[in-house]
Amino acid sequence: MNAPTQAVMLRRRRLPSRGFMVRVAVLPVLVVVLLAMLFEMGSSALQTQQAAMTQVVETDLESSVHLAEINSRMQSANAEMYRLISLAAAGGGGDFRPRIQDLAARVEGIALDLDAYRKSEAALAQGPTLERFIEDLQTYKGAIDWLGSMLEIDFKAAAAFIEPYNAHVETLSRQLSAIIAESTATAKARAEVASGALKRVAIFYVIAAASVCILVALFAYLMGTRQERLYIAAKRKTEQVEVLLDNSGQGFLAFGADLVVGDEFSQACIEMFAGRPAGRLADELLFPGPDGEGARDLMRAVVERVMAENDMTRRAIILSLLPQEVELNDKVLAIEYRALGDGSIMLVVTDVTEARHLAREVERERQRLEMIVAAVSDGQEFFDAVEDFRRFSGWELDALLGSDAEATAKFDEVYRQVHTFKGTFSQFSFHHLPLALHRVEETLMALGERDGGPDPELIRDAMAAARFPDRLEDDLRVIRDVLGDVFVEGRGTVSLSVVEAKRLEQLATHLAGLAVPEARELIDRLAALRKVSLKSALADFDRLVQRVAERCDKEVAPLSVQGDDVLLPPDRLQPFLRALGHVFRNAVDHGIETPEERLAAGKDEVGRVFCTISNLGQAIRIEIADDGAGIDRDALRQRLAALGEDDAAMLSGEALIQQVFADGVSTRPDVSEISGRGIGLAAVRGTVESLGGEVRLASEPGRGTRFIFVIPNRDNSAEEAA
Amino acid sequence: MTSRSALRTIASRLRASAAGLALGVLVLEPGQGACATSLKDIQVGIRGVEFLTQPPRGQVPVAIIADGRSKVSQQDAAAIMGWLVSVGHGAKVELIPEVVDIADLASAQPYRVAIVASGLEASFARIGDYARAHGTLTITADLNCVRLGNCVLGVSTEPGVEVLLSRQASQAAGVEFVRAFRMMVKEY
Repeated sequence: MNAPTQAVMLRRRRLPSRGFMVRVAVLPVLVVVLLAMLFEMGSSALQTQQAAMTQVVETDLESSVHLAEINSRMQSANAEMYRLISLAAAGGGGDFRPRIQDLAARVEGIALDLDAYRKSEAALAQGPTLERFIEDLQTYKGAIDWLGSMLEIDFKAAAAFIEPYNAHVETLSRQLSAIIAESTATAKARAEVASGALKRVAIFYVIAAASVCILVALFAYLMGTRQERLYIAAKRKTEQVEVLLDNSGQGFLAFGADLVVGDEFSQACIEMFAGRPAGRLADELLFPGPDGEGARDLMRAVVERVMAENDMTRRAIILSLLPQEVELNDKVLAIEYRALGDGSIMLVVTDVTEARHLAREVERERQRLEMIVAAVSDGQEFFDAVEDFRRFSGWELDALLGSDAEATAKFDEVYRQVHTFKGTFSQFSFHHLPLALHRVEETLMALGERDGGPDPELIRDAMAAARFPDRLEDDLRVIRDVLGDVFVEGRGTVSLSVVEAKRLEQLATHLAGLAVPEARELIDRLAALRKVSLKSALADFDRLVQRVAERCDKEVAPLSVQGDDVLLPPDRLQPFLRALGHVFRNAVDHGIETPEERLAAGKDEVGRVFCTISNLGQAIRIEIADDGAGIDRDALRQRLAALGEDDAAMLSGEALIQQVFADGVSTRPDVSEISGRGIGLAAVRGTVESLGGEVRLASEPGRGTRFIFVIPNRDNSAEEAA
Repeated sequence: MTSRSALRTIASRLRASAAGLALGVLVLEPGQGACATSLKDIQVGIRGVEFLTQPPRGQVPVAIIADGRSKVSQQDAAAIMGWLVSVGHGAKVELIPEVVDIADLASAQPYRVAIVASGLEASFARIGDYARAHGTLTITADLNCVRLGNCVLGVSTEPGVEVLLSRQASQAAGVEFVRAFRMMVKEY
């Protein structure tokens, strides 16, 4: 299995260099030319040697024939001489003189021929021998003359000289035989020389041909070896790439303008797409079923645009419009789109299911840690909220639903409490309980929209079905597991050590016995220890602000708390602080714009939330402001109109703004775990009013919103009264 | 025909008459001298003239050396003269024989060829001196003259034909034969 990009790259690398290709093309031509030249040289040399050898052989053959003829003529002359001697011996023959003269002339002719032959090329090597033989031949002629002269006298006279004559004839015969033998030897030697030359030429030719063949074979071998090395290297690289790709866990595939997936894809694709993707349409592969119709249309349009675009950067930008993540076959797949140079599009698909699961686990763990931190750092508030919720979900709910109040009022109160507790526990990073409260909230919303109003029994059933104690215990189990049951049962209190307890006891005893003025100070300090710093309590909302900002993808500067610090008893402060959670959440969720919106509005991209505390003596003034977009008055009017509050919708100015404290009023079109029900601010006003205080709202479009709380400082009043 | 050639013809006839006379004397007194020269000796010996390296051409005066004081010698010389004139020697040259007394030999004209008649055993040395002095080819039937190195060529035809060539005499007289001749005869 191959991945297209790497495969293409490998194929490109596998292409031989230009020099190598030139050698492949030119060298065979050179070899052919070399062979042709070799053949021509060899053929020419062989022909030359053959001609020389032929000439030598012909010359030597002619020489041999000539010598044989001489020998024959010699034998003939000798035979004639003996015949004349025989005639003379028989007493006949007549006049011998002409015959002798003829015989002598024949011998002279032989001598002349030999002398001519002696000067020929073939006889050059035999010059001295032939010269001597010719001299002996002249002697032979003289001997014939003498013998003939004797025959003219009588046979007896001639017979006296036959012996030396014969001896000379034998000498001549031996000489001629030697000449012929020498001629033959010379011819043989010349033939051997010519043959040797021919042989050398042939050997040279064979060696040259063999050398060329060896060179060609060597070249072919080197070519083959190189090709083999390249093939093996390419194959090994391809296999390595295949192994890497197949084991990378990523899916690689490519498709063209027709969206048909090619045959090259990695092994992981089979598992990701539950089958082989080859031949299938990429859009149907990624976005199957009716739900994927829109994505498929988008993908076809994007691919068409990409194919029509030549600029690679623009291609990448266009491809970025496609979904980067899809869920397929219970898997979450991250997809990268890459436009390739050959006009195709490559998909790099990564199974991020585990990563997403892990991210959720991390988020969950983070949430658990936040909850643990909240339990430790805000232990009192944390466990007060837990206790309050237990009380609310227990007897207070029963009491409320069983009261004589109107059903709508019961519903509103339950709904308000559920919503407040949802925000509170979200603030403390609870996990199960906010979800359960959210679901109950959904159910209550549905019940509230029923004809005839909400049925308290159905409310009770919904609350019971949520199994709040179990959900609460599920969340508290995290605290128990980490901090122990003692911490939970002790509601976040910190016990003093024995030594510290003893010292406090000694100090208390001492003070009680002395009744010194310092005792008042000690009491004050103890009282102060019992109270909570409003400034610190407000500053603690910074975590909530930052958490909400993070969830909303907004940037908010650290919460600014300024002004006087006021110490308040926790039991009085706690409901108010819980109510303020809505204010801070709304300030971030509704008020502060996104960084892009803020930049577009000419603001710093980082939003700000301010708290200012003013100790008025009998009252405490708390101002919480943001520099966000302010309240959308049109949206507020539409919401009021939708709620049937037509009169309120007709209001304007500050009066209209104050309507945000009404139940169900929210300018947000959607509902989340953070805000949007329109319940929070109503709960805030309810809490403030229950404390005997009041709240006002000021909002300026584009500039922000300010909540101004004025709460009576009863402890201070009482103390001052005391 | 010129008068000169007529004289030659007459002289030739006279020589033939004298030769016939001498031959008659020889026939009348057969068996005189052991070394008497035979016709065959003359035939063989005269043919040797043709095998000189520089053979004479045309008319060749031939001295027949004899001892005027010896009848045998004169008779032999006469026989030789007769054969040369009447019978013929078979040679290719025309020989003109003249008898020269050994006593006059020293003052005799130079002859290229001289035939030594028998009866001159005592004069071999003088003959040799003459030959050496005039480069004369001396032919004799007395092989002793050859063996003594005074005569150049000796011919004996009885009982068998034998030709003896004195290397010493020929070299001393400057008489040189062709190689074939020297090969065929015996050199002494």
